[in-house]
Amino acid sequence: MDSATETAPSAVQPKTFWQNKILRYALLGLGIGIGLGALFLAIRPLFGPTEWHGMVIQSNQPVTNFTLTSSDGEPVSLIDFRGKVVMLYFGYTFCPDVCPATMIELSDAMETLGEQSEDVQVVMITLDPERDTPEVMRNYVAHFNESFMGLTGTPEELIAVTAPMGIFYERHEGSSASGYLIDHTATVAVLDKEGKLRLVYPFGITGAEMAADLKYLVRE
Amino acid sequence: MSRRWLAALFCILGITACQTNRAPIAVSEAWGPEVPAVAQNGIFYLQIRNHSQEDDRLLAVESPGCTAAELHETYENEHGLMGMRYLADGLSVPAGETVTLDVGGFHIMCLGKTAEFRAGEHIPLSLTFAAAGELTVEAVIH
Repeated sequence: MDSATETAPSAVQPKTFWQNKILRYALLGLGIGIGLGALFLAIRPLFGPTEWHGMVIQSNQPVTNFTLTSSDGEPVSLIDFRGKVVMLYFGYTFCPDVCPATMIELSDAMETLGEQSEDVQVVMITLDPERDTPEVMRNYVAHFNESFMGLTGTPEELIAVTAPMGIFYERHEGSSASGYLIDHTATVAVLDKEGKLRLVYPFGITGAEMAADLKYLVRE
Repeated sequence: MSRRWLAALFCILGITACQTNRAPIAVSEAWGPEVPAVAQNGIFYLQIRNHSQEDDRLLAVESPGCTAAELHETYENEHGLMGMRYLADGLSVPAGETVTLDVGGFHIMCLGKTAEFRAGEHIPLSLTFAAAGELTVEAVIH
């Protein structure tokens, strides 16, 4: 037998893919990595959103309670909403641009939330009690969503409510046709179920962005 | 003259012809949001394109749907307060530019609305420009 024609001994043969130890470990590592990643993604939503859409506020105390007049003329206190996520918006019905635009977004947020919206109370508080009677407020907010609540108060009551929340407003004269107008902080404040201030949304926030945050707050 | 040059020449002639025929000011996408019946005022937004070589200015707005219509601008001051100011001198529409009136910016405030701001309604608007004169459009409520 001619030894030169013999095939090389098997030990010198190149290893097959599965025989390569390093490759096997690398593949195992990759598999574990993907598995952990998938698990993390699956449970991630349980811990809250990756990013809140508003300005995040850390508060230890609930917002100081206040009592204003509901659209039925009855007194309503902030504490009455304990157990619900409360969204406070301060505006006035004479305002045609910023206020209705914000109310439409709030209404969109409620629609996006569906059943979960039952745990959210949107409250619009007027900064123009002279024009906005309880009846005006009732009809105004109901246009956007039947569940929305409109509150009024005396100028003194309103200052006591707004100042601690960082809401400011001032009247200025417009044209002869418009009469006075009101400059105001146009943010939306979000209080959790314990009445603590958690988020502040700037003007321009969308209903979808608010709904994404509220989804977590209602589950707390 | 090469074919390319001929094409370029026709192109320039074509554009010039267009510009002389086209209205100097075009107003489009006039709309207004639905407004609660109880609200005193409504609002209109639109786009103004100035096709001419001259700057123009929107001076006044009138509508049969409003007791008075005013040009306003929403602003935010250094303390974060938002408000509206009446544009007494009107709104500048520079040559060749488009000015957009939209939520949170320029708008036409419909004071003492008499028309219903309900989805599907059409409310006529008459805009007076310094150079282009009067223009009428219909705002769609949606």
